[in-house]
Amino acid sequence: MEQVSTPASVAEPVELPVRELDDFDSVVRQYWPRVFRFALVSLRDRDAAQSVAQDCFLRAWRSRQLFRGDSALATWLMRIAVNLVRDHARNRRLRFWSRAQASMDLAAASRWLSDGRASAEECALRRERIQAVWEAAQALPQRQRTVFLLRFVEEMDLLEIAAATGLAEGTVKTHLFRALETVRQRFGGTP
Amino acid sequence: MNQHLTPQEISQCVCGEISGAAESHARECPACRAEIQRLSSALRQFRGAVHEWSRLEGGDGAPAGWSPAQPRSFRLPLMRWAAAAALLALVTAAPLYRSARQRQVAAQAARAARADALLLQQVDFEISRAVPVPMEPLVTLISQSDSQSTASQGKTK
Repeated sequence: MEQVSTPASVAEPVELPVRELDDFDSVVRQYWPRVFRFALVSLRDRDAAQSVAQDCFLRAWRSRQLFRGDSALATWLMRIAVNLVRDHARNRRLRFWSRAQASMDLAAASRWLSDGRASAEECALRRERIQAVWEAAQALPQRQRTVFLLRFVEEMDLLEIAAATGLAEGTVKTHLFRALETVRQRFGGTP
Repeated sequence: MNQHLTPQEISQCVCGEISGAAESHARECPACRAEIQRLSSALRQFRGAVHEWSRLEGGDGAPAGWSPAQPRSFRLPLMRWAAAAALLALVTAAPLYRSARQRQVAAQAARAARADALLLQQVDFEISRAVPVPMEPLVTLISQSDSQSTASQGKTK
């Protein structure tokens, strides 16, 4: 199995204790990339992603006294982000001047893929695969896409996804397997 | 288990949610194992590409100086308001500019008409002369001599 390293800059944040919510600047520093990334890949709009990330941390800061640590801080923040992304996507559908949605910068992704060890053919193949997953993800219904992105981009487990989306664990599983099946079909996969 | 894994079982494998006979089949069957690896690998690459894309889009941290404790950055709404205000100013200024331009054109036309009228007056004056300018002294002389001769004839009569 080929190994694809995760960039050092996107290493998973260390979970902060609840009392560390008082040092909110640290919370923002630690979790901003995750919230922004989820918003970006969901909305495909840099400005909207930045706006959602700002709103997410603003809401978290305003209601930080209500956070009792029942779930992980990351899960709590992702729950706020999921709701904001959903609201933003819903509002955007109503806007007749909605801007064109950006595609993932595959040229940039290609630079990351060219790790020096892979051949040009291998890079092209990887690019095709990424494109196929990207297109399949965009075609998914909103809930399936959210679950899919939380699982495979943010690497959250099923319980965390259930907590972040407010769905039952069984429902999360169903959405996830359906989303995966769609992606697999896009690949022309056969059982 | 001789049959290949179902699509759902493959999805479960990719999510690490499989056990029992399906799990052992996934280990033993090269076709199913290859399918699981292919999908897992593509998803890992997708994750890496999204992380890199986000990093390139400036998602490493909050905008400089932004903090939820501070008043919210209204950069985006402000830009939109500025664009809307510019558009409104343009829409309002366009008729004003057009009307000012029309006034300017009308004033120019009036000035040109006055100049034309003056020129025509001068032309008329030149045309209405009985003799050319160089001959005017001669005409004066003739008219003087005529008046003198008329006066002398009157005396002799």
